[in-house]
Amino acid sequence: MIHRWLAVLILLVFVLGAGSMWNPVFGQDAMSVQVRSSNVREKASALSKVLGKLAYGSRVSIVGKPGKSWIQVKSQQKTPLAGFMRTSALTKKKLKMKGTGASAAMAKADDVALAGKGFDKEIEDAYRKKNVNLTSAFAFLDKLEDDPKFKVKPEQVVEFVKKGKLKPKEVS
Amino acid sequence: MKNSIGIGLLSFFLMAAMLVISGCSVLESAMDMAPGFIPGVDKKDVDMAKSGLAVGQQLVEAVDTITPEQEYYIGRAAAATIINTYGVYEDDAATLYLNELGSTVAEFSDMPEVYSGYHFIILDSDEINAFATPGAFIFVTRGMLACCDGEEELAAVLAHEIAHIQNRHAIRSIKSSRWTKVFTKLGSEAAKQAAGGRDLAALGDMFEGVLDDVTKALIVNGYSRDLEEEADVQGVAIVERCGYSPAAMVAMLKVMEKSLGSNGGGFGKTHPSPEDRIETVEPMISANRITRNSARQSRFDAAMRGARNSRS
Ligand SMILES: [Zn+2]
Repeated sequence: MIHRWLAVLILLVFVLGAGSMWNPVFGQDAMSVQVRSSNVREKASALSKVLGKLAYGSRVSIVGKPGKSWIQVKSQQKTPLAGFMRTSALTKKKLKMKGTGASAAMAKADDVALAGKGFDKEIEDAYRKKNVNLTSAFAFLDKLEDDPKFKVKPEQVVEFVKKGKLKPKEVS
Repeated sequence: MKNSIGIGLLSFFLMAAMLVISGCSVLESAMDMAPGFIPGVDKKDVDMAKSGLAVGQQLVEAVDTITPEQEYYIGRAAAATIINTYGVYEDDAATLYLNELGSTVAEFSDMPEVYSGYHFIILDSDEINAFATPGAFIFVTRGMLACCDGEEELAAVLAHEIAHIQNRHAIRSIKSSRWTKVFTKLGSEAAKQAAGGRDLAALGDMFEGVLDDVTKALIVNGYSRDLEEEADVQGVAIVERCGYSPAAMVAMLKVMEKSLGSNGGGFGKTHPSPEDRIETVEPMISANRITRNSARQSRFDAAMRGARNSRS
């Protein structure tokens, strides 16, 4: 009887332990950039210096223990970029890219060059063709996304915080 | 002994539940070992728990299958529908300020990076409303801006919307029956794509179905009370991390409460009453006073003057 309960206890501890370890990044030594372009920063802070950018699909090696918001990484490029990236920009999935093109060369990820997806540019184009009443709405979205005037750069955020005399409390 | 069998079974199902959550296949084999040495557990229980595991895993994976990139395309189409319904208030200075403020707030959220960045848009409507589509297109109406006396309040409105995004509420509003279909389809599409072709018509139908669920949740039905509470609680946490007084959330809700009386629809329809929302967030807030700052107030006033005062 005691043995049985000991077994249950051990199993439960084992299972609960594994459950709490369940984390999108735990135990992964390499991850992929899952956003169009992501900044690699000097420190684990939104206000820290941007050392460079990595495009969609780029692979990075995990350095050290990942935090809640930030992971220390080293890009898998010829000249590696080392620094901190956001956990939300990375996935443990390997993202496929068409052809053999080096991810480093894809400074601006080209939608057409990305494969293995369901809803993508092609599906949007078909949807736009079918819903001509949305033409001007989509045109506005294109303008908003492409016009550099509305693209908020990391330096602008730093300026905005500074000029507004904000004192953020960051989660690392 | 009977009692110990009950506890044994309970532990076993707890274990099975943990497996569903953790979705770990290594542990699945641990379940096979359970009959025989966990009291009251036999083969039948194992099979039952395993089928539960399969369903759970499928749901976890279905949400997971939708990548940030696909969320972005769903979000763009939902955003186009919202723009088409309400109309955009085009004012470059206001839009730039809103995007600077919103991007700053998003930096301190739990989801600072989305596929194509955060985008903030002002809708030309007196209705008090705000939306956050998947892929992070966030809308606020002129009516909502009028509920904000300063940058602090507007930050609180945006933080609530960003909280909806970091929890993927819009994506989770997609019906589970739809999920199952999309999940299966995307799986088979991956295989088909490897062979060169893809079923554009079927994917297009699926896209429209998903879009229908998302826009209905955003514009017509709203989310459940629980999800709205979650967005308010996390919204308060986000503004605090940015360095804004969380009391701004309450101040904004108080103005909204007064204005909603004469202005039905919008948040009045899709959100709990401002009164109830104040009840949720007030206990989290230590200081009732909003710390303002002249630099913040003047940039807010300069950028928002037109949008807050014009009437369509
Ligand atoms: Zn909400």
